[in-house]
Amino acid sequence: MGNFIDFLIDNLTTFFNNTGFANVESGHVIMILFGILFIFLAIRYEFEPLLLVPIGFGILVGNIPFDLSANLEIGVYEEGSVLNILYQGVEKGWYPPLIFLGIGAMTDFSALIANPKLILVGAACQFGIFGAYIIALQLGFEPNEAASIGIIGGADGPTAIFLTSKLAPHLLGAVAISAYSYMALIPILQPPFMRLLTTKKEKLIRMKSARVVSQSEKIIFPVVGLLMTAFLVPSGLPLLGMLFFGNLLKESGVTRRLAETARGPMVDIVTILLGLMVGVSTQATTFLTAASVKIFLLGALAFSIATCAGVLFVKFFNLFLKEGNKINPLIGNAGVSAVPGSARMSQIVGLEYDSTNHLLMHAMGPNVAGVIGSAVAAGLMLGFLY
Amino acid sequence: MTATLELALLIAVLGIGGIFIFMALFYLMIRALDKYLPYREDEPEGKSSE
Repeated sequence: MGNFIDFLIDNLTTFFNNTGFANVESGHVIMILFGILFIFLAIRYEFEPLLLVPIGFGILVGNIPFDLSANLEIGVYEEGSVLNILYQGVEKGWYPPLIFLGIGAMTDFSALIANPKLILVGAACQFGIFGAYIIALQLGFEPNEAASIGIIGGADGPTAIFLTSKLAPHLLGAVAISAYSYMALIPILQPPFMRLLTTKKEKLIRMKSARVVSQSEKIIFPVVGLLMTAFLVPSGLPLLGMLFFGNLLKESGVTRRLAETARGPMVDIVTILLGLMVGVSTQATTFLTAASVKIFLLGALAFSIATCAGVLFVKFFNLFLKEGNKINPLIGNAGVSAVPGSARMSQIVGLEYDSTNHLLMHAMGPNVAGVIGSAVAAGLMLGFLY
Repeated sequence: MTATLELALLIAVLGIGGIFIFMALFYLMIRALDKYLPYREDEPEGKSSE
């Protein structure tokens, strides 16, 4: 009987030592609370729910405490575990190009083709990337780390993950969470700068209706776009090549099924995997560091610089445009590549000042230009630093 | 000015300059498309293929 009780106690002790309760540390609790906050924000306030729900749940999964020495092979950083295998798509950077394929198949470039000068707004917003890059370097980050932090200013999660996986994989969790968090917080981050940097008169500018775009233009655009990308910035090819390929599937008119798959089930599957694995990668032991806090602060700064640069660039550009051709600077914020979140903010803020001035279609031009711009910036950074 | 900052500024200037050049070429490409392949009334509108 005594032996049986000893046996029972031994086994219960072993069992308890393997539970989360025996291995929990304060870092796990903090991260679990973060995960719950993400899920709450996504469900209660609908802040980018398609991203924040998988990321938030991933944070919970990644921060369940367990005994590493038990060799359970369940942790994301344990070679050969299921989570580790799924994480390869983030670590090796092959989820982001697949997301770009889906984005290409969803994106209508008409607004940009109809008013091509708006493409320069997409370029101006990339000041956020390079501004944050310089500041991060001054704060003591290595050049490759600073570039990965700066790219948060592009407001493009897949691009941030792609570049960081190449340049600073050890910062992947912090950069990805930061990029996606700020994308979700666009309704809070951008409007104050948009209101502050524009006059009442500028907010009321009405833009001319866009011209009709021919189908031939829309078909040739991704083909020529791909060739330009490949020849000018080859390092941006994985992202931009897939973006333009997806767009050709959409616009060709003869690959409807492929386009529907790319922008539907395929992008949904990759989004689930990417979001979940980004969340899982934020294990307290690797994520809760002073560097992560700095990255969050620098990410906010990069995003703010990008928004301000877009709005100010439009104001500057307007100095050279004739009356009637002027651009409403409230679409300047849309040069970051958070599609369509930032374009939607232009519309919402614009309607606050004139309930009949609809800016959404105009803002979509710089918005899709921002997707191209941030991917080009990532390609250039790779070219300089990889 | 430290060598690191000098290098950072150089990369930033080259980077943002590169993006503007790239975007300017895109702008010219779109203008060329508009010039050589303009929308005609008998052509289906370039609406989304959805």
